[in-house]
Amino acid sequence: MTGLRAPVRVDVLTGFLGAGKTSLLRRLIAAGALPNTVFLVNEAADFPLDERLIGAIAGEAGVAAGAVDALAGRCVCCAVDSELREGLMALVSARGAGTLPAFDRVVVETSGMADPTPIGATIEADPVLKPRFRFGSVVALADGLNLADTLDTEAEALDQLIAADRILLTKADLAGPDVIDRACATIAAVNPFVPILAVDPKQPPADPWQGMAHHHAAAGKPHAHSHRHSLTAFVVRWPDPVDWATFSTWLSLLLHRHGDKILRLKGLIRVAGEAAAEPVVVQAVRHLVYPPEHLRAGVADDLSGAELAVIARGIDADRLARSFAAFMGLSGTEAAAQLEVLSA
Amino acid sequence: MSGDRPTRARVRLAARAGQVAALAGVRLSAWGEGFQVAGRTGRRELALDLAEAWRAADRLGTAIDPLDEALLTRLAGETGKARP
Repeated sequence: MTGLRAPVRVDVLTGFLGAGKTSLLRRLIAAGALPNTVFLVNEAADFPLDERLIGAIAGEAGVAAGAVDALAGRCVCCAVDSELREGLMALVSARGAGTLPAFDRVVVETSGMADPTPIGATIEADPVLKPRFRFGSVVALADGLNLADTLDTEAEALDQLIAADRILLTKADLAGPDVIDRACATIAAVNPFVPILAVDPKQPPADPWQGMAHHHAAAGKPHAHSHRHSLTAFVVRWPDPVDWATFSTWLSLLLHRHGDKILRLKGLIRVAGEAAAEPVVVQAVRHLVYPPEHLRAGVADDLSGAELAVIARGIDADRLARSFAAFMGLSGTEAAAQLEVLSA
Repeated sequence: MSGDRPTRARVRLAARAGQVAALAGVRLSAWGEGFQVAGRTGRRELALDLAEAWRAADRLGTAIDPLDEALLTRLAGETGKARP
């Protein structure tokens, strides 16, 4: 019975047109860096060129050709309620029927013009998908040569950087150090919380979704300026353990009222009454909250209370910090929330 | 959503959310695996989760905003009252 299997992790590869997604995926497959993985390829063009290329490589690498599927002709963010769902369920059916080898991970390559956020929302909201799949993490490719120009003209590129858990800078070998520095500064102005790695085309690629850790938000970084995109990135820190019911009440009401402006929120929470347990990581994207998870041991031993890293548009960071403190007051923990604005 | 007895954690969550929902003029309580929201006229809605409960609260009471200064002031007044 399918429901008895552990949920299959769904990772996302995104990046704007020409950033090198398909090229990287081909190299990862050829290097055998993605074992037990099947691929859902989303190609906005009518002719699914990417599917054919990856299919060929997958065949060479000994992966069943059927492991490659395509959401041909549609953008993921326009197709999440139907095609993506159908694509994922087709993989489950094929595995059950034995026409697809066993797999424990799906990688979805979005089209260059897709906002990856609805993929997670689809999985979390769908009662059929939710027991079978869990949303993993988002790797975004950013073209080191053309990033700033792309961000100025393409809203989806901005969405991709905000949604990313890791950014791989491509074409770094073609750009000088100044260009790379500028690209990193551009990314930091949009999403100061995301780690950035340069892709070295001469080295065999490693699985880019592995080794994601929930680090503390970096403190004391120079402030970047994202005024061109009207974004604010900030960290709210709270010194004491947090009452879970109070936090859930605050977060649910915040996202209910302002979810369209909370582009990304990641909280590391030491829960009151769970002194022996590891802190909990909570992630929200717009109106959606992902299931909370306990951190691995040792990742945030020095966290005494809570740390919320937020990327928002049109939100007063100071007021959000005071709102958090006011709600915490309901559970009897009275303190001042510390606010650090990283970009504004 | 069943009418099964709510878990202790859900009762605690409903009590805290209910404290805030009262400022919207509605009564929020645990109901099975979800919540029940009741307006002043006695009209009730069931909600699977808090996101649904806040939507119901908007319909049955007054919309509240956690970033509204007036609400923060009222919350400060709540602090120190009998806590669930």
